[in-house]
Amino acid sequence: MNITTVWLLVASVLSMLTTVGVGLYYMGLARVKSVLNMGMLMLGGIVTTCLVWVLWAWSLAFGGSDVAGVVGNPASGFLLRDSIALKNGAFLSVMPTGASYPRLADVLFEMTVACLAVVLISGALAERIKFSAWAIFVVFWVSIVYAPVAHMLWSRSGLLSSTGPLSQAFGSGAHDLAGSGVVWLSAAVSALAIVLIIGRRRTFHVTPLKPHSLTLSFCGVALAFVGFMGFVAGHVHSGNGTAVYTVLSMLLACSASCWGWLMIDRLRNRHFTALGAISGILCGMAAVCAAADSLNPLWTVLIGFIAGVACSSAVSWKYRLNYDDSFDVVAIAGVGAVIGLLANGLFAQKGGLLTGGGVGLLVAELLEIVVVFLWAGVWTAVIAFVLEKTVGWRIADRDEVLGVDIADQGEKGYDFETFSNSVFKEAQ
Amino acid sequence: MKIVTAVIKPECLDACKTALAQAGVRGMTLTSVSGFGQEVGHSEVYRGARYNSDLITRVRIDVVSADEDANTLVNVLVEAAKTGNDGDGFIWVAPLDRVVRINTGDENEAAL
Repeated sequence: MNITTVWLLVASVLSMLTTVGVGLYYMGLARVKSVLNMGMLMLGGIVTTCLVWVLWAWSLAFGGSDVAGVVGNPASGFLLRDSIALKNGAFLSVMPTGASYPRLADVLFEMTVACLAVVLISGALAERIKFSAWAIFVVFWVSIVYAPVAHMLWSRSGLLSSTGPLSQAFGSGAHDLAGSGVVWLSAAVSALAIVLIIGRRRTFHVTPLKPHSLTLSFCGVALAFVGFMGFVAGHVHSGNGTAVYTVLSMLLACSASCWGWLMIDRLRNRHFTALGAISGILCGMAAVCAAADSLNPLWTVLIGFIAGVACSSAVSWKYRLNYDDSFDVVAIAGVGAVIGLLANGLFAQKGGLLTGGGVGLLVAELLEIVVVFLWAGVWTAVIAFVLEKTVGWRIADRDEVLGVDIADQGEKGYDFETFSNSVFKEAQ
Repeated sequence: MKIVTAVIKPECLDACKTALAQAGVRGMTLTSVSGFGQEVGHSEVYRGARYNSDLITRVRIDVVSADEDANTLVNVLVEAAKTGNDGDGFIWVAPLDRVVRINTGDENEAAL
């Protein structure tokens, strides 16, 4: 028995719980007539990502010989070819030489990480897109955007990784432990690219678009918060003291960011709000990913607090700049992630600019931000644009008024009418 | 026949039902409504967006009564639903042409 395998298995489960929690949070923020659509974006995102991951995306991200440090070989790991072996009629994992855990554990864990990135994007696209367009988008996004970014940051020979070309040339690669850049920033930039192409909801900034169930959102973030403990620590790929430290880091950062947001809420709106608390937790999650293992506790708390304050101010951008980032993915995930990455470059115990380590790490983190921004932004814009011109993202205007659940799925999330206004038509 | 309609605060509903029962009323219809009058709504804030809800929740009681009982019922309801603050509500009395109990077919005063 390999303890790291057991740990990665547990971390994968917790990581999937985070994704589900984020999906429930989005479902609660939607209106009554769109709640099921948000659920489908979450579930559709997860199941499509799982399929694509096992087919070629794992391979693109982590498998085989790579192309210029940007992307791996999609064929080498096709359908888990390079990861599984048959013994006595049951499949088990290949153990790479010199590795401390079997490859399959990595495949599984990284798959759950990819699922989170995909579901994060869906929050910006509420109440107006077709499920079919989303599913097609996910296939292309995971393959063209997520896998190469993951490869560049996390693969041994990745362009910006700590053992790749950048590190060899300048002495320091970008350190993104749990994916502030790979997961949160790429999702935020991609979300922004899509919303700029598909446009606003018809009544954005006109009629109230209030959450229908903050209770559901609250429960979602509560679950995501617990699951995130496994998400962050799983990236250490080992059941050791560092893994424990990352969990503590995450709890510190999220606690501080929660308080940061609550303080701003109190100052600006005279109340400590539930939505503020859960939003604070989420932006702390985005910020802590980059450097959960390399910031000392004091900086972790301060960075969390700064993320909470900054992200709570950033939520008003969408009204000022008039783009419909429905559930604030850009403000929470994007701004939080940038803060986390920069914080690593500035305050990392070893290598941070302000802790006596020179500019190497900071430059690498800045480079990561720029590369993720450009790669995710440009490629997502291309995919989104092509989808808009071919399949079409949005439901019809009249259907948007009726509600995307009824229009796109023929279902209602809630049926509280005491008398039925529908008649049984036929059994099919 | 008259219909006495009262729009009252939800927290006064129990008192009103008890008072009406004591006044001999054996049936009523309740609806959940929203509106505004002297008391207006509050504002809600959701992450960077402030919404003003000018509608507040109320309960509507409809009671059918004989002509001579309408004023008594109005007084009973005013007593029971008054809190002394803004937004206590409104009562109005309207004439009915015809009232039928579905079960027995009784009409007008006999149906009460």
